Amino acid sequence: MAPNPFTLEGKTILVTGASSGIGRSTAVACSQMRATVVVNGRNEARLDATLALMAPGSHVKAAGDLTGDVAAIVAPLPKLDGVVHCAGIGHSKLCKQIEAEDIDLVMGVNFKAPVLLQAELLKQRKVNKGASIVFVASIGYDYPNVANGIYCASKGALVSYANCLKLELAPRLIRVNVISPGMVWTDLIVHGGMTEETLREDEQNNYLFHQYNQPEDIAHLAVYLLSDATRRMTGSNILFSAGAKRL
Amino acid sequence: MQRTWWFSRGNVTTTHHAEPQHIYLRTMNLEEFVQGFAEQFDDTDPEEIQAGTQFHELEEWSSLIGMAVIAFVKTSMGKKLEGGELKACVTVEDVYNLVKGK
Repeated sequence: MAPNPFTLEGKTILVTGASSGIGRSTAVACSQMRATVVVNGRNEARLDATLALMAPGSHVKAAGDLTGDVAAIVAPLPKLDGVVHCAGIGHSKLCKQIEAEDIDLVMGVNFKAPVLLQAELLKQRKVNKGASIVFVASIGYDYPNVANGIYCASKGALVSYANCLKLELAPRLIRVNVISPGMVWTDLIVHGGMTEETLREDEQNNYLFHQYNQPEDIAHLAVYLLSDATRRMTGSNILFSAGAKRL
Repeated sequence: MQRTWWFSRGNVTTTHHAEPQHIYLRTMNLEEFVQGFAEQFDDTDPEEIQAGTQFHELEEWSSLIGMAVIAFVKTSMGKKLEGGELKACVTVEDVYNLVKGK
């Protein structure tokens, strides 16, 4: 039988935000594709819950807040063949209501933290040649939403940053790609300020398949981008819109 | 590789909310400079880089590493090194002498 081009066997993958949502699903999917997974998240108990869902392996728990002492989180990590930056928060406020703290919070978690984590991983030489870096942004980076100004801007910043990172990592054959999902059923949207009823209505009326994405849909794309199948693919930003009609 | 230098990027950035810590800036001796220079490379064995190394000849040398060297000189010694100046240097010691004279 031909070798499976999508396997992650022999690869060590760091997944941030692995205690819920897209991060958790990505950690599970990577383990099912035989990767050794390093799971990061703030809450140990919730990371344990993720580990319980994962296929067996010598997975590593790297609990810690990425907006804090990131050097200390990175120091004990093994060498990595892939990183999926999933950690992020939602935010919903009209532009006229935005305060400095909102910007610090959202940009801090969605932009500053992954950028500083990536810097630290490179400084501490944790990223192997030929590795794959994946950022989870949002279609919001280019498609507006009422009350989502800062959130969308934080994802736009991430997309622009990833575009530059790909240039700097290309000499070591490290690829950098972005996934920009439409709505995904996670805590981020359920607790994001809209009622579940409004979300269900949006799902029915504004999505071609009348369904938002599920976290595993995004996870499977992350697996693809981590696998050798995409070893020559860098600088892509893949929209995973679930056929959102109001793009 | 354990890097415990006082100018090591790891030490300086552990609290990334802090302002640049100019307390770390000082004159380096040649040996320290060579080690810092070598740290800008990702794949080249640090042993391969000595004071007399003609760094442009190294396989990994590139404009990207050159930018890393310029940033290293700036953050660790507070000196501004121009790309053209770096290009004109032949050995690592040439760079050290140039920066020292600034």
